Amino acid sequence: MTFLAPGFLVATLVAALAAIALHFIAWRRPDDLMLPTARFVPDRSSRRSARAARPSDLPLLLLRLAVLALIGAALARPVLTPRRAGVARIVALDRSRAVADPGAARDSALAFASGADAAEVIVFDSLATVRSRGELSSIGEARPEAKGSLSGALVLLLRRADALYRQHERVEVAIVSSFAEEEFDAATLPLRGLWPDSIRLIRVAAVPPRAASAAVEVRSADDDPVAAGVRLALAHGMLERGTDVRLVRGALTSADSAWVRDGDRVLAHWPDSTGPGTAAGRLRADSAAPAEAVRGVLVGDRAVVGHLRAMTLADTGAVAARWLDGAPAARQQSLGGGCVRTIGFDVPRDGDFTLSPAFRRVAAGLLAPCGGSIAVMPVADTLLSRLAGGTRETASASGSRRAGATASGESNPLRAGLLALAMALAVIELLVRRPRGGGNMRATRSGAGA
Amino acid sequence: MPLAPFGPLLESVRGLTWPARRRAGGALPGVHVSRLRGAAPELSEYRLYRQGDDPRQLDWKLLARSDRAYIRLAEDRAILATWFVIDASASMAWPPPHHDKWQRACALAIALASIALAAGDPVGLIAVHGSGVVRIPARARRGAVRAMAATLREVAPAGSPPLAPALAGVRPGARVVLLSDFLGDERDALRAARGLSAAGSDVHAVHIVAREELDPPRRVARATDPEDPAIARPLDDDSREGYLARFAEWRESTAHEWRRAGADWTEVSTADDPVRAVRRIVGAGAAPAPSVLTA
Repeated sequence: MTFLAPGFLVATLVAALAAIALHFIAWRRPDDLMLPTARFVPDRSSRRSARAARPSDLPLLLLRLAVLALIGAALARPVLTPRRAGVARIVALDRSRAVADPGAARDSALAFASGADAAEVIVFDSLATVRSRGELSSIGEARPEAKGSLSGALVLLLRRADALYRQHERVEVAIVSSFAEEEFDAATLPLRGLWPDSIRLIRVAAVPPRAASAAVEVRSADDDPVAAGVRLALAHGMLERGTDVRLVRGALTSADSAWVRDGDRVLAHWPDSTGPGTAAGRLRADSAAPAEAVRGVLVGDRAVVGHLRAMTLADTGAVAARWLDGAPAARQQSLGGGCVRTIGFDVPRDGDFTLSPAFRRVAAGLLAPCGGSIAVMPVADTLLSRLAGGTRETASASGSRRAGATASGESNPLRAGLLALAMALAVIELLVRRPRGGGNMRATRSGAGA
Repeated sequence: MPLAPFGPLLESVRGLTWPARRRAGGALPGVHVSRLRGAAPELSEYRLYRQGDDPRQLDWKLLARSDRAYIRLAEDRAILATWFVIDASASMAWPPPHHDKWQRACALAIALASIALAAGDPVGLIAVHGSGVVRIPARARRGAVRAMAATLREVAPAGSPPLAPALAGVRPGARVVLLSDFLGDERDALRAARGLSAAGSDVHAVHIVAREELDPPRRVARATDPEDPAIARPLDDDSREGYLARFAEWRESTAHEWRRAGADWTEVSTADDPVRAVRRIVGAGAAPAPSVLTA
C-alpha cells in the first residue's frame, strides 16, 4: 500500500497524541464527599476540576483513535499497488510516408523490444494501433500516402505504458521514426509532458525530397483564364515541383490515362464549362443558386472566393477540395502510380480573377502531388531533445507520480471504504459517549467527551 | 444487652465522681453541696444568733465559754438531676459507615450518666432527631442507664432538628449536658443555654468532632453538607488550608461564646480516648466556683 499524501498521516499522529493528552488531562467533576462541616470550605466554583492521573474512558479513547486513524489514512490517499517486477518496453514504430525504409525501422523497433520481460509495439502513421512483438514480423506494407502523427502515437503510448507499469517495475519507452516536420503538431510536446520519464528516440532515414525537375503541362485553349493563372503561379514558384503535372481543360483521352499510370504523376482534369461538350449539362443542377454565383472553395488551408460556376462531380474518390458549405469541389482517384484529380468548378472567363494571388494559391493546391505536400525536413535538435525528455527520475518516484495521477483521476474504493468505516465508528462513538454525558461523575472539558 | 457495647468504658469510669460546679438546689440529700445550710454534722461556720433562728442550733458550750450566742451552720448535701440532651441530626451520623460522632456521643452520655447515677443523681435523656424528640424522665433508679442505652440504640440520626426547644424544656437548676456538633441552630442553643446557666443550671457543652472533620481526606472531592445539599464546595489542596483555618476559628469562637455564657465547654474528637474524654468532662467541674447562698 502506498500513501500519496503521507502528510496526513503525520497530522493524524499529532491529532491522536492530542486526543490521548486530552484524555490524560481530562477534566472531570470530583467525587462527592459528604462533610458536615462543608460550610467552612471556601466558597469557590462548585465545578472545580481535577486532572486525572490515568487516561479516562479508555474504550472511548480507543474508539476515537480508530476514527482518527481511519480518517487520516483515507485523507492520505492510500493506493494498493500490486507486486511489480521486470522490465517492460514499449516502442512506437513510424510507418508513415516520411520513413524511407520501413523495414529498417521495424528492425530497430524489434531490436529495442528484445530482451524485455514484456514488449508492445505501437504502429502509427495517421492512425496508431497496438501490436505484439510477434505480430511485428508479419506487419503489412506501409501506406505511402499516410501522413504520420506523433501526437496520436503518444496518446496510445502513454495509455499502454501506464497499463504496463501496473505489472512491471520499470517501463522503457522508445519511438522509432524519421521525426519529419509534418509529424509534429501543437499537441505533441504537451502530450509528451504527461510521461515523466525519458523517451528513447531512434531516428531512421526519411524519404528524400522529390526532384525539382518535374514538368507542368497545360492543355487548354490559348485564352483560357485557368491556364493563364496556372502559368502565372508556376512563374512565381507557387507550384510544388515534386511530380509531373498535366492540366487538361478539355476532355481526357486514353493517352492521358496511360500517362498518369506511368509514374508518380498528377492528371488534373479541370473541365471548361464553356467549351464544347461541357455546357449546361455538366453544370451542377441540384444547386438552388444560379449556375454562376459568388462562391468559395477551400483546398487545405487555402481559399478563394469569386463568381465560380459549380459542376457535377462523381461520388467516387477522395475529396481534394470543398465548397464553403462542405460539398466536394474536387475529387481525386489513384490511377497506377499517379492520380487523377477532377475539379468541379469553373471560373469566369472575363476579368482577371485567375490572376489573383488567392486563385493561384488554390490552383497550386489543386496541382499538388498525389499524397499532398510532404514536409520531410528534419525537426530541430532542440525539439527532439524536448521530445526525448531530460528528467532523470527514479522508477519508484515516477511510478508513484503515475500512480497518483491514476488515483486522482479515478475513484478510490479503498479510500471510500475507510471513510465509511470512520463514519460508522464515529456514530458508535456518539452512542457510547451519550450515556456518559448524562452522568454526573465525569465531564471532559473538551466537549467531545461529555 | 444495650449496655454491652459500653462495658469497657463503664468499667473504666467506675469510681469517678462528678461534683457539681454550683451548689445544688435539690432538697433530697445527695453528694453535691447544697444551697441550703442545715444541721448536718459537718460544721461549716458559726454565726451570731439572730432573732428568729432555731434555738436548737445554738452552740451551748460556746455560749458558756464566751457568753455570746452563736449558732452552728453546716453544709447540706443534695442530689443534682442531670439531663443529657443529645443532638441526633444527620450531621452526627458521620462519618459513614459507623457513624462515629453519634457513637461517641452515645458512649459519653452513657458513661457520664453512670457516673451521675452512681452518685445518686437522677439522669434523664432528651434525644433530638429528625422525626421528633425522645425524652426519658430523670430517674435515679438502678436501670436508668440501661434504659438510656436502649433508647439511644433505637434512635437513628437524621434531619436537621433544632436543639434550642429541647434545652428550653429542661428544668432550671438541673445539670445539663449537651452533646452535639453544634452545626445546627447553634445560636439559638447558645441563647437557651445562657438562660439555663442564669437560672442556676450547670451546663456542659460537649462538642463532638470527627477526626475526618479535623483532618479531611487529601483527595480532591466535592464537599457536600448532609443536612443542606445546597452547600457543595470543592475541596482540594488549596481550599483545604482555608477550610482548616476557618473551622479552627469557628471552634475557638464557639467555645469562647459558650464559656462566656457560663457553660463548660469540652471538645471531644472521635479519635480521642473516650475514657480520657469522660475524665476531662467530669474533671472540669472539680473546682466549682464558690457560690455562697444562705438559707
